Amino acid sequence: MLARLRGRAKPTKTAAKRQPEYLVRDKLALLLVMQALLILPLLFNLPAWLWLVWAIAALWRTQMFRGRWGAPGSLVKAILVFACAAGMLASYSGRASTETMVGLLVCTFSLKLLEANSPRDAQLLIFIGLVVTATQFLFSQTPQAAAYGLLCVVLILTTWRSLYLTHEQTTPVRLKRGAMILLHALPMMLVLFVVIPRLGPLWATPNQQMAKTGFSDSVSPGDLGNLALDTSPAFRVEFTNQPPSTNQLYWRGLVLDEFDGRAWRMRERWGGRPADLTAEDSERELVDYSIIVEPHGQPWLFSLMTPRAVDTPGKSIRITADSLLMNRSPVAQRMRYQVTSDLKIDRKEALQLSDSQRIFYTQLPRDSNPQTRALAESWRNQNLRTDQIIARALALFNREFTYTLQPPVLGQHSVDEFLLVSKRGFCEHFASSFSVLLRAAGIPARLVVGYQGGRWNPLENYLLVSQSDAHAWTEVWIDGQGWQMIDPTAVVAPNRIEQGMNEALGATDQELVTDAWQSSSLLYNLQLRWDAATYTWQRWVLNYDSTAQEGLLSRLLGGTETWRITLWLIGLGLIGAALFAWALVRSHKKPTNSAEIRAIKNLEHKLRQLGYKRKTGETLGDFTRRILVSEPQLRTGLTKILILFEQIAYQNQPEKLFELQQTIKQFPR
Amino acid sequence: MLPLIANSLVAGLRERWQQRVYRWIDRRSPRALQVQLTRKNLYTFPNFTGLLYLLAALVIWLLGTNYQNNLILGLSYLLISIFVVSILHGFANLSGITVRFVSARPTFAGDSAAFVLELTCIHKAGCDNLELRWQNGETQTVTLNYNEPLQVTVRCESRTRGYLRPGRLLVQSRFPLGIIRCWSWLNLDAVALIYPAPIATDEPHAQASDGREEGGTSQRGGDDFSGLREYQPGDPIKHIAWKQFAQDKGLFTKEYQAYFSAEKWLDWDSLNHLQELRLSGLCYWAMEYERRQIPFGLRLPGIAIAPALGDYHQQTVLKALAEFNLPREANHAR
Repeated sequence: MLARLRGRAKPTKTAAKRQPEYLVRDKLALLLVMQALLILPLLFNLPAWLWLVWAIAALWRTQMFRGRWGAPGSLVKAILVFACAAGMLASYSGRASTETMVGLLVCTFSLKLLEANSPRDAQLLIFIGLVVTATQFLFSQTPQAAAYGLLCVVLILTTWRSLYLTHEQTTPVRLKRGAMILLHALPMMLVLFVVIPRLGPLWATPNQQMAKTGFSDSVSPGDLGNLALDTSPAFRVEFTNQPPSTNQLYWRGLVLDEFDGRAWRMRERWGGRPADLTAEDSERELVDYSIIVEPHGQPWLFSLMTPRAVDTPGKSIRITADSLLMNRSPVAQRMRYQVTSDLKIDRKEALQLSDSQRIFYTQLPRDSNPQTRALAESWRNQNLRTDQIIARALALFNREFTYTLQPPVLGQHSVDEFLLVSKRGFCEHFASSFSVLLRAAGIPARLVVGYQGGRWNPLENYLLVSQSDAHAWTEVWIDGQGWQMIDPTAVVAPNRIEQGMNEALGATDQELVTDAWQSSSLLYNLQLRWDAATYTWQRWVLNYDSTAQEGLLSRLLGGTETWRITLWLIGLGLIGAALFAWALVRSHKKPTNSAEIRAIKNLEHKLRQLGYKRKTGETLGDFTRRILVSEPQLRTGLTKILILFEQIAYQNQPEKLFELQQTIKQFPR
Repeated sequence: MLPLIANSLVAGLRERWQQRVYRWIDRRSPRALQVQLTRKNLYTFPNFTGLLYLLAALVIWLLGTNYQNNLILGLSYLLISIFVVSILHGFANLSGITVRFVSARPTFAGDSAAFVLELTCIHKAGCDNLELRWQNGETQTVTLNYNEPLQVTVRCESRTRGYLRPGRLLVQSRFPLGIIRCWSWLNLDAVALIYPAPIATDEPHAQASDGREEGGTSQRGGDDFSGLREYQPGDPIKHIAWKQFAQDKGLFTKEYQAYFSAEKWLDWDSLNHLQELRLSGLCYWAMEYERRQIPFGLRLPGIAIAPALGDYHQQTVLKALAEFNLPREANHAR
């Protein structure tokens, strides 16, 4: 006492018990692992030198922890920041794109590591890490990417929680606790995802650099043939009612109306408005369908002839004069749109081709493909009618032409060479030469590129259209009928239209397009299933927009009125609160009594039936003596119990427990 | 100048607000020796880090909305949900903890008084990162395990002698994610005895005190080592002959000899200062005499304690000094 009194030193700081000022080993290690896994998927989409930035930062921080290297001075830090900024500038030549933004974020995330000394800094890193996880989804939105993102969140939560942990816990336990937080948050997240209204973009964001896939706006011989080997999906279609037959499934993408002797291009950039077509109701054949298109980096979209109405959440799609669908900007995100097309349209008096248009649609370069032009002009000189010329031209293909994926390379006069020499080609060869023939014969014609057919997925009832379904055909102006579709490929290889490309090709070609997936029915089924799952994912998660929201909510709750949703939310909240309270009560356990105390409680229960109640604060000895005064016959039993209890409780003889329990069980006999 | 005024204004407002909060808490939880944390006395609110976190969630939501990316939107909703879950986890972390005031060691004014509290946690997962702090004290961080009562010493600065009430005890935790603060102000019935701060003054005029040259008797105690004797229970620990004990010779007590007059009196009237300084001086000399092993007595107006030595005597003397003529509200605190 005296010594303590005299030791009047200043109150000693209990530093060991306080939250450590510095990041300790396990926390730093977790932070490093977390950061590595968060950045990993991004580095595949960003310049490779970002690997180096992170590696330098991680190495330096590790060496700092081991006491080998000092903390970087402000000059070194300035140099690093400057180098990163210069690197980003050089890699993206100064353009502000999504990649630049994410790249800068990754730089910050990596370099901040060098400054992460205290748990407070680590906390900041955690917050940046959350944003970094979000940017992963800018580059990939597959189910795998989502699963990886969730894994990242678990890791972030584990690291984050560890910052505030004051006692030892093994890493698996930490991971489990981190995952528990996620697990508890998931139900509410689902509710929020379903219920919270979706808004359109609030301001213009820098465009993502998009790899352009599919065909371009210029088609020369061989372009579509290359696509035929690409089995990646182009878009998926779901029909509201019965789907049309396969030979009606011509998905128009672009109209190419300018021919330079070899390639077809587009003259007009989608100006004008669609002609106001009138049709009697009885003559209509409307098809409603919705399409989820993969991002292909081009503004055009696909529809069946003739689209009459189109709907997207952002109202960004319009119908052009050529009855094509055009988006306001290149399609960089997977998007869903709803179209109503009229398969049968009567335009007898609807359209007139002006003289200038007629000249334009029959234009051909002067000095190209002389032989083809001569042939067509001979037909023209015979004063044949339009339909006769079309029949002649189609008859030409009927005879000795082959539909093949491996056509010979064509030179300057591609149509001449194809028609008269090689006679082997893919759909764009046929469509191109057919259009040239008609134009030379004075009939307005143009080339249409898009997709034809698709593969039906019976599991989810949708049509999968792949890049390999890319197709080109011709549209011909027939007076009084307007633009009519004619597909010369259908004449040469009718199977291509009816059953798909594989059936139409010869044996050697088939080997080219047939991959392992299609060779076995089991694998084929698996592929079908996987694609169905992907489609479901796209439909319900990636393209869950305000329309889908309204549909789902009215189906789930019976309506989308505010009061209804509010009531449901309150109900769900109450359920959640009740679950939490229940879990809390369950986790609260009164400290359990030891076995001998429990045995004595049994004894007390029996004595209570005899009319003796142990008072609070009364020792077992006092209690027994009080009973023995009036019940001497219990002496043997009670004394034995008392002795046994004292031996167990105070003399450390737990082996007597069984005897005590037995004696009490038999009491008072 | 202006910022200074603004600062003091803010400080004043904060003070008033704090007082108001304390009064409200006092109304809700009467003073008790033992308090259990339940939903009635636990409060939760996001702290600054929590607001930063919500900002991050907002940034992610904007990213998702502008890019029309449902996965990013989903992540932002997940973050909001985690925020809510963290409130529940933080609450569960603290709820069910029992805080009991065990004891407080007497100390000198100006030192920090140590209050011993016993904490028991009755939920299975235990309690992490629990911070304890008196209203004006330093923070102590502890971890609790299920069903393992833990005694914690929480200190509180003392200013004046008498009885120290440390005020309300702040029990708080930011576990698990640091974005939510869950706390409670407990009105524990804790009190510590504070002795006057010892201050060296002139020696109080000692009655009948003579040096040895005037024929004083030799007595045990003092500064000069005179030999060893067998240890008897009650001997001061600092006098134990540890060297001999370490050599396995047994427990001995070192004896000291000193020459002094029989006893000394700490007399209130012998010092000529203000009341508090007088008490401090008496306190200093009480300690000094005890150190020198000179029996001493105390004489205060209305109180007289006969000369003696030893821990118990010293405590009696110091307690009398601490309690002497306390202002009324301080006495009331007893």
